[in-house]
Amino acid sequence: MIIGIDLGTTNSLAAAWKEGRPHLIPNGLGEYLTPSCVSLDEDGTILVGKAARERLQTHPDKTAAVFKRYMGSERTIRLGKRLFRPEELSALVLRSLKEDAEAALGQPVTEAIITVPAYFSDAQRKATRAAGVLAGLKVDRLLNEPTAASLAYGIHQLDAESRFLVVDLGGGTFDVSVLEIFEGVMEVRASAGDNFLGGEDFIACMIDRFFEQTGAPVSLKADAAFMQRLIAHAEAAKRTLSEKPTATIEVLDGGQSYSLDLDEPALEQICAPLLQRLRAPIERVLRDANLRGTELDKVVLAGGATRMPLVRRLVARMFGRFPECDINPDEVVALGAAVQAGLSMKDAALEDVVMTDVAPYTLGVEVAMRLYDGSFSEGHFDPIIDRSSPVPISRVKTYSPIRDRQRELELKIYQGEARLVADNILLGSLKVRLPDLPSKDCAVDVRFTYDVNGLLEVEATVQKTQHTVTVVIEGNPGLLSDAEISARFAALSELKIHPRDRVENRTLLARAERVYQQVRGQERESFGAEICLFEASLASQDRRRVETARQAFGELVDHMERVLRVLPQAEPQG
Amino acid sequence: MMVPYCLQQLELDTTADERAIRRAYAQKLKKIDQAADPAGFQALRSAYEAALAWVRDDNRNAAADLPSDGTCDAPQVVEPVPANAPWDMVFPTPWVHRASKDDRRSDDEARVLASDAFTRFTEAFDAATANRQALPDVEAVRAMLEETMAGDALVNMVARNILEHGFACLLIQGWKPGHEALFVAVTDVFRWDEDRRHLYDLGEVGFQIDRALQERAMFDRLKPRTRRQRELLIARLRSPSAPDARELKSSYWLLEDLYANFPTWLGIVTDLNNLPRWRELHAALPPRQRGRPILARKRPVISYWHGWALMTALILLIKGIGHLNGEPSHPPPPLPLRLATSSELPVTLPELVGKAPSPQVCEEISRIYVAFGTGTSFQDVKLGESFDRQIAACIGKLIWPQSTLHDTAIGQVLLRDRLRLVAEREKALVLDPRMRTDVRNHGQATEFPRGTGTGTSAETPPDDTKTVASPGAFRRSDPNRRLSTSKCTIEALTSWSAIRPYAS
Repeated sequence: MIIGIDLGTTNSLAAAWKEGRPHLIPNGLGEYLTPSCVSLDEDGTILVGKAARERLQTHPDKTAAVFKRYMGSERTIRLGKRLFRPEELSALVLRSLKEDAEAALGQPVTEAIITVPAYFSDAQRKATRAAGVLAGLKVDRLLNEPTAASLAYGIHQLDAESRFLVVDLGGGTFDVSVLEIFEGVMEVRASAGDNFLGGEDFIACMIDRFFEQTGAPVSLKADAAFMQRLIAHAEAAKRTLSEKPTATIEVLDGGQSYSLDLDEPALEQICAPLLQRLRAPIERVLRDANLRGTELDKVVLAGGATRMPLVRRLVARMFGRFPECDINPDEVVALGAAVQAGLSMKDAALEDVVMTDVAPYTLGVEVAMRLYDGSFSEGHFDPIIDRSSPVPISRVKTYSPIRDRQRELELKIYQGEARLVADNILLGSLKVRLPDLPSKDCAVDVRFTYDVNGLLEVEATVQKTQHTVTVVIEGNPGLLSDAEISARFAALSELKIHPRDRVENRTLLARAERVYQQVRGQERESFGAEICLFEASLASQDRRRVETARQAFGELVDHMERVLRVLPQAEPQG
Repeated sequence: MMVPYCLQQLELDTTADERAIRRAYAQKLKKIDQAADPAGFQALRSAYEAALAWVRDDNRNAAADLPSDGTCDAPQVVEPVPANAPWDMVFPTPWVHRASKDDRRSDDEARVLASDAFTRFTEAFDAATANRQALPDVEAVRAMLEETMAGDALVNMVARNILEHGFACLLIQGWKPGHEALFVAVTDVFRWDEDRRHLYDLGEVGFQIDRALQERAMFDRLKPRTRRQRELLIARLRSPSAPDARELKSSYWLLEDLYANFPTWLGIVTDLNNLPRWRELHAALPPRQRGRPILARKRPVISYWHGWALMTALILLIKGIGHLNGEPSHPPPPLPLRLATSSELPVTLPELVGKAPSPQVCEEISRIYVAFGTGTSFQDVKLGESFDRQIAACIGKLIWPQSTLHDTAIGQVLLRDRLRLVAEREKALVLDPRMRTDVRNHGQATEFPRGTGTGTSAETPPDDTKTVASPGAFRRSDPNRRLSTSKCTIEALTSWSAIRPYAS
């Protein structure tokens, strides 16, 4: 059984293809969204999900969130006494989802399709695959998130011919794709995006405006607790503005209160530069697909941040019609991953369906060009695979060294669209040994193979000697080798994830702890007493008693949050 | 009619329409496992794209059908070889120019918006550049541009694209005071430097702008002192005053050298209309005062014997030190470059080039083409005009292997071929007595490159097609016929983009 997993920056989901439809898989709390947070509990077990997110405020040194941002890099995060790599944290989240899936489907799960942003680099994709392996899952395929969203929509209308645009604005990344459906073929025509644009950038703009207008001292920016509260309030205000005309951000600091009133036009003005940035990938993707706005049948939205009326209005203005979001934007990517899982399992319901994807960015090497006075100008980019080429694709180009009797040729591999490599992103490099011959005999064939997972393989062959070098792209420190993966897998297996059947209680306790931190005075003492009572009833192990206690305690915590205007823990901001 | 190879691969015949092609592709695609058989997928995909291009082209140019083997019923075309067909097929024309009537109608609104914005800008720009002593700098022009673009009306993407295309045409048409700042500002605002593919979508003008930007990038890489000297010369060329003998002696050959190496970019940032006068005046000088041509240098040029001695001594010294350190004195591994040298041409090439295009010939040509490098540098040696011609013919007959069709260098091959055709047409028209008065500039253009020593590097053979074609491509207009920008509309500019030598 293959499942589809949406490993998101803020939330992760799992889904499966059953009975001809994609179904979301609920977690231990009965919810579909599992926050991508990992926390180390007092007894050394690992908490994943909502419980961990609650602990972000109470035990920040033992909790990690938003680690998707660091995938593909060397950054490690400390939880308690142990250092974790982002792949390991993601692996823990994946493991938790795997257990949820096994509980829901009643069978062991060993393969999965994991989604990645279309603009993820080679290193980031390899890290995601490593995370899957560390979780004990064979990663059948890495699927691009906008493609997944398109699949989720497209699966409902396979008979008709249609073209649509998918706009996926998540917590941290922005992806756009154009999909065309005909004769049961779902073909991605073009893909573009921005790796540093997401819902949280809108919050950051609001916070900047808050500090400007309320005159709150800048020193408060260093106060982590204050910032967390401010972020939570800003997030709440953003949500309120979707329904009501005005909202207020009000935060207390000691005795001092700072407040900022906002309305829709003000928000639009604050976020104007971000809206401008949203436009560029959309235009590029339409140009690459050689389509104009009027030729699209519809525009669909994915990703939680597209709930903002700002974003919807921009899209409506660009295309002259309102975008559709029939499917919950938070869930659509996971549902699409399940569709791909069904395709991979060659499910009978999907017999007549096939999907093709494209390369989201141009790949090439650095070359030197000969100036007219005989010298060479370095640092120019020569593309080998153009963006929006259908994958899998393999292209060969021939290169020669500049000087005679060069010992080796260094191929630097870049990704990007610019003319000079300084404006592109370096993926890695490859050295080829050359024979001791004049330069015109030393031609090297360079083959770039870009597979369906978006992983690049580079093969360089010296024509004369037929000596071939295949890259493991060197020069990328963020990657784990196979040996390292095995070692870390062993280490991770020793960590225990909190037992599933007790996660609900644990989550409630974590929530209560967070609320406890935010109340003061007498209420705090009485609440503290209530927490002790609840823990005692948990220890009793009497099921009926635990359930009634949990229900009562849960209502109490809700009450505290509501009445004392203690806000629920919002999505963590990176 | 011969069934194109792409349709054969999809098991279709020439009656296929777009729907049939898609259905065939879908059926075959479902049988292939993309992950396990990537080569098969690629082949199928190439066939599909070629077939789509073929069917779209067929619909558009139904009247000007190319005479193919067998049936020769097509009407006699006036132009020597397929004029528009290869371009429309190979380079997506600026997508505002697509054929469908519905598209055209809905574009009218966008056109109006773009035209308004363009006229607003050109009025402001003309006013700012009226005073030649105080031309606006890049920042001022950029501010003007952003103001024009800021209106809500230009949220419409088609309008923005038309506007962009209009600016490109305006720049390519030739230099006017202030254009050097305009070029930089427009490149920044539209981000032409960041995305080459975007430029290609603008059609032929896009290619020219890309070349100009490439030349500019190369120019910027020169050493600061050499660059400064050349920048001064470029600025000097903008002024219409005639050079005196001293200036000619010191700068003429430098100018020729610049022109030979950065023709496209110079056409945008400086006034190439002044070049003929410089050439005239230089030719009129007595031989001894003409200054020395700039030679190409593969090795440092040593003119004095003690220079030689010094050099030898230095080399020995360095080698000695190298041996002492125990390291071979190799330069650090520099970066790769594709070079093609004419000594490697296969014996069979002349025969190949003489044959009529057929799938086998085209396969062979494309193999040679790929093997000998396809020139990211405009300086690369070409394998000859007839080679380019053969490639263009293969593409025109739809039998060029699809995998390299989107190669930018193929675009350059076709551009060269195209410019060569334009040059030939001009040559033909020069001889036409009815056109004599209009033709003086062009007549000169064809003569003097051959007359003067080219002064370019010995590596590139004197390339008549290149030097002849460039003036033609720029349409250096007769001063009497100069278009004033205030009368410039988007239509006037964009209609130029199909190179028609004489707008009658």
